[in-house]
Amino acid sequence: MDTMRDIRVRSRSVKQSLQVTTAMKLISTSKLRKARRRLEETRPYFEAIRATLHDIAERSAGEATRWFDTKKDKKVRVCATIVITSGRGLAGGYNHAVTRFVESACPPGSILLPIGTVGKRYFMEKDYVLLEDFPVSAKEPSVQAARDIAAFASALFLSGKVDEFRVVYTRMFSSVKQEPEMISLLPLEAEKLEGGFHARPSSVSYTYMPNEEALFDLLAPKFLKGVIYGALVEAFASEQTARMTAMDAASKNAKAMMERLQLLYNRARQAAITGEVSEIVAGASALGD
Amino acid sequence: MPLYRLDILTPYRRLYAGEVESILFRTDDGEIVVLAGHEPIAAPVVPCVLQVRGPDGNKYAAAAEGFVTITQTKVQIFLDAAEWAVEIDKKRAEEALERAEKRLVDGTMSWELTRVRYAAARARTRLATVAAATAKRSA
Repeated sequence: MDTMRDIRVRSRSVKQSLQVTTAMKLISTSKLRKARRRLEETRPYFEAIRATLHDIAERSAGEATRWFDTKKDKKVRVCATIVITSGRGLAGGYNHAVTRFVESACPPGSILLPIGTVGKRYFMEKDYVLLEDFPVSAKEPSVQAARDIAAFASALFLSGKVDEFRVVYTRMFSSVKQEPEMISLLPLEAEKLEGGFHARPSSVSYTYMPNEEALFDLLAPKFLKGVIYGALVEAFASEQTARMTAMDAASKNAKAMMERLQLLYNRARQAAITGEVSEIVAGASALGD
Repeated sequence: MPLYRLDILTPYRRLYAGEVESILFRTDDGEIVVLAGHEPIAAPVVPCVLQVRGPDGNKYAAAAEGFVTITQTKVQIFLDAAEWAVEIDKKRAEEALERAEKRLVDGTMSWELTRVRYAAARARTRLATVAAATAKRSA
């Protein structure tokens, strides 16, 4: 049986862990609140940009085709996947779900662009080609980061090195359900851009300044940036939710363990006292004889 | 003056949503004022001072790059970033401009040059916005 001292040491370490998990839970709660607000603020912008891009694509005279699929008949398509994971661990099953999803969706040897160190470390050891990786800030995703990623992807796409880009991120369905999801980024597809926008009158025909192609070249990167930023924010919110749940569970376990240790400690103390008393009694009776 | 619907959207927030009389901004070709019933166009917007004339007077905002779409019913401006004149920290913008100009004069790494130029342009736009807003108020 453990002595009182052993139990005290253990109980102290559990207590420290409990402090850490409680703090982490609080932090992710507040980050989650921020991420949710951000998601709401950014949504109108990207929905409108998407509708506009679709508008232009639909009425385009086919001048701006380089963002669209020009290699439909090509046999071997080079396909790259952007994988969004977290920058830190201790987020429950969050990262694991993403890596498992990627492994089932992308055959070994595929090109990956991991975002977040956890995914990068994981896929480095596996049989994948990592083209480039992007760190994420632990604070919150920035539009700047999204722009860098979008610029990198469009450069590869326009130069014809990669024919298809996809993004794997964790979609937050609710606070209890987050699941990895794959969306296609490039090439743009006129039908996909529509996504829930039908009510717009298509009778307007814009005058494009300076011309259609130039405007499309301006819009497309903004759109891509938007999609990536949206995915980053969504993933960030999912990560915080996952971490919050994980840390909540850890705190509960730690509390239960503390209680058990307290019980053990009391028992050990009682045993020690009993031992001492019986020694004294035995000693006294030995003297009295 | 007839009113029309204007939305100014940035990834960070919705800067403006409501009815206005006119809006002034700058494109590649120069400044444009849009009144109700403007011809439908789609055009890029370059960093400039936005002047929004609503039913309750003029408002000024500093705009980063973006684009605008005009239809019969509404005008939408999408910007990478934008802020109202009142939100601009004048001192900070002045300092930023000074810093950037010093860098440009002293010379810097070539890869930093674009960034410094952008920083200077941003600071100038901010200052111009503040100047436009205060000029109107005192007049």
